[in-house]
Amino acid sequence: MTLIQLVFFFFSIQLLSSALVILFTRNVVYAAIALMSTLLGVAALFVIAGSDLLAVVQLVVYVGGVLILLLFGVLYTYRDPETYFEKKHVLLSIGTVVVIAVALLFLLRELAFDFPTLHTTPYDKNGITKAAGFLWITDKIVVFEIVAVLLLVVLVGAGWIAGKVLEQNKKAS
Amino acid sequence: MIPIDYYIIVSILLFSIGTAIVFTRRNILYVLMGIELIFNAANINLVAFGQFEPYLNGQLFSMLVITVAAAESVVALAIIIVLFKKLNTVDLSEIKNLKEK
Repeated sequence: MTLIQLVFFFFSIQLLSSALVILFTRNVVYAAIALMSTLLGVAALFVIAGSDLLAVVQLVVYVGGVLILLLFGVLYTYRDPETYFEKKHVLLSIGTVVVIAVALLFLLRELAFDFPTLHTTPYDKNGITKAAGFLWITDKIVVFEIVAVLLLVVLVGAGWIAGKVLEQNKKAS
Repeated sequence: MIPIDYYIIVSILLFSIGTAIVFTRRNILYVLMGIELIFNAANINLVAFGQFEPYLNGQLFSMLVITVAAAESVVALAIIIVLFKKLNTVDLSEIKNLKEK
């Protein structure tokens, strides 16, 4: 077992165990912190797969943006856990995980993809940043523009939804 | 080099944990977290398979997925805040309609 495989196993165990914490914890704040750990583990897997740019995007967008938003939502809607008792479905949770994982693994074995044994070096030893930036503004510019328009629509829409309700509340009170 | 099967197995496990969270939890924020986990499982697969492809289709598509996931999360959070203001709950079994009664 080489060093890189050890690192891979470390990070996969880390991300899977934090995902299990989300599944089993009753405290929403703990779940959000465990989600951060999971996202960091996924970023590490991206680095191991040779796409450092995507790891940075993952850190900036998920850990820096989405997670902060989620924490805001968690604390905004937070209530005393005692008054908000959520029944634990431990057996149901474990059962769902096992059933779906086993089904997908069997499907994988049944399909028997002829996976390429990847023993060559990654595409660019210096990382993919330069090539990705070049491709974004040449070949893949349609996707880039679609994402830009989508983000604009989402920004305006989310502000509109939230702002209308705030206005109504102000009028009502 | 890591064999691609390892990536697939990690991604399958992450996907099934995310699906279990979506199925069994009643708090809408947990459901949102489960959806994020499912997105990440898909991204791991895309990156693992696009590792050695010279035109970087896997990575660029995965970046698209990350952006759409961020947008989805923002809209979902706006809806959650509106629901919490109107109905004063985030319990999925109590939320039955979007309109005010």
